[in-house]
Amino acid sequence: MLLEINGLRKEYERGEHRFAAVDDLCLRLERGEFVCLFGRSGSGKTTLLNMIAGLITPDSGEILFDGVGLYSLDDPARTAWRNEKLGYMPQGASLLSNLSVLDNIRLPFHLQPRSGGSLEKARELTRELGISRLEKSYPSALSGGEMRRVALARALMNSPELVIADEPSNDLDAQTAREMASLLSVLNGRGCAFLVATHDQELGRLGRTLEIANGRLLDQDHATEDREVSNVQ
Amino acid sequence: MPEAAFTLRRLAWNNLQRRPFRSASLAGMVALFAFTLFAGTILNENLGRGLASLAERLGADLLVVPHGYDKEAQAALLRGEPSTFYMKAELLDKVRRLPGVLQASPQFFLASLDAACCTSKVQIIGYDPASDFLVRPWTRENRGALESGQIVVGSRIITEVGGEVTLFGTAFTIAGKMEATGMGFDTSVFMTLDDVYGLVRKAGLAEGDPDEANRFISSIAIKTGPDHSPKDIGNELMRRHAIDYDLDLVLTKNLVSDIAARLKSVSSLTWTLAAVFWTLALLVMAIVFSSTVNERKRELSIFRILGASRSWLGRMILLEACFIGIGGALIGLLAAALLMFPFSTLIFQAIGLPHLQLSWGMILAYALAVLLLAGAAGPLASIYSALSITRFDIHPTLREGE
Repeated sequence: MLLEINGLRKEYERGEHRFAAVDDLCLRLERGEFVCLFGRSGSGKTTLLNMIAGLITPDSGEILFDGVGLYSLDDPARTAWRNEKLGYMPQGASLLSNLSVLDNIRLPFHLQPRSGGSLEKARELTRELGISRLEKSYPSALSGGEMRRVALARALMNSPELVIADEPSNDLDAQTAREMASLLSVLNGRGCAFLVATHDQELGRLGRTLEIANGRLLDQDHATEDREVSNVQ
Repeated sequence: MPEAAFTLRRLAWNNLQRRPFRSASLAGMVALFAFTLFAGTILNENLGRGLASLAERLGADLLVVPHGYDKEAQAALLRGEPSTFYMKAELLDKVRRLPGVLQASPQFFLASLDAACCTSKVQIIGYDPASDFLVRPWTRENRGALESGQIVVGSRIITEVGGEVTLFGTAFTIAGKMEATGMGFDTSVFMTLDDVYGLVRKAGLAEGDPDEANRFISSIAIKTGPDHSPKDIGNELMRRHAIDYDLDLVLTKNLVSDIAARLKSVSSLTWTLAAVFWTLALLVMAIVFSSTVNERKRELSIFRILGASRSWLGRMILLEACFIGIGGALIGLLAAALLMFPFSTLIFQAIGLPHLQLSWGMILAYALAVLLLAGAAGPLASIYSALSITRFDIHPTLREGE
């Protein structure tokens, strides 16, 4: 088991009343598994992903990664863990505009102390993801699909065990979204686990699907039925 | 191919380059402070040293000059502005007989034509080596009597001891060079009274009969006894001889205190401006950094997501501020040096106060101090922003589409 989540809860205040963005949520993810998380806006997807990434502390519950409680680690240790074990593709434009494509990809390697260089690995990733010709370009010159590929390459830079992707095909045209899905499938085939928050049915076909509503995971079978009904409508 | 270095320094520098106008404006504020502080300090120190030298070594308590020439005498003394004014030499004996006068020594001022030694006219001062106490304290060589045909030159006249200078067609041997006084003496030439009268006669410089030149002097320097106040002696001198000889007095104590007062105002202005600019630079930078950090929350969140620690982000912000602080300080120092050193003569001429150049060691020490103080403005101004980064919650910036 790569990831085990038990009884996870996170509350926020909106005006005078509190609400649970994630409520008593349990989830298991095996090594090399591809899991898609569906849900409407505001359903708690990003909050859940950020808690798994160690970016926000849950009010209760536990997240075990490789058997280690994520929130038993202090912030610097959790940051180092995230850098080493986790690749994260945030929602929307996430590239740093003052760095070239190649430097954007290399960046995670240099954020924690490490020996060796990053150039060879970064070039290997640009070849693999078909963006070699863009190495010296800056993000402002890239299309939406190219930016997502660069963000994916960056998430893979430190050879993580789990990649979290928040809406990786959002705003992409159908063709580009299909290319992205195919790319994720290839990478998943090499053993890297993926947890993807999405609305894209194409991605849902790559592995297990889960649906989140009001901060809770719905029963998996019901979730699939609900989604299919929603699609027909 | 060697791998390009990917360091925190490079990232911080990249961030500054991405906002060139903002970075240049902030560096400009620091530069303004560094410029004011460095130029002002050099100016004050040079003037302060000049004043100290004047107060320490100017042996005369009183200068007697013809009526209406007190300002010219001060200009000749402080700035070396060539002046020519005369009164009857017979006054000297009368002055020496005044009670309380310890020593009295005459001077004769003559403005040269362009001399071989100098790029412009110089003040020739004839003096009496036997009774002199005005010139001697600054004379390095030839502390004994100056002989006929010899001259002593001021420190800023470019000649060597033993060389020759021709003045009004007469060659003089340079018997000595004065130490830097910070006053007009630095650009003056000193010779015996007999020699200066000889020049007047030979070149026909005086109105009337040149042979009568030795009946005139320009000023009398007076040293008073310990139990007598220069002011009282001046009053007595004026009471007895002002009408017959049409006199004016320069009290050197007043001269020094006037200069000290002007220096104090220059100094106050410098420190006030420097303090205002420093505070302003600090405030503006703190505000700009704080708003920039807000504006950059998305970017900083990305760094955190990718595995940058909070302290790493804080260090990056501090480093950006250091680059601005040090860059601005260096620009300010360079601008001040480019203004102060090549144009120092013009600047001090315009100020018209005695000055002595600081040693290069001292200048370097002041430059380093300014660099530290100005350079520190950046990091100081960004401390709050750097600390706030270590506390900010990245989640809201990532929830936009949830």
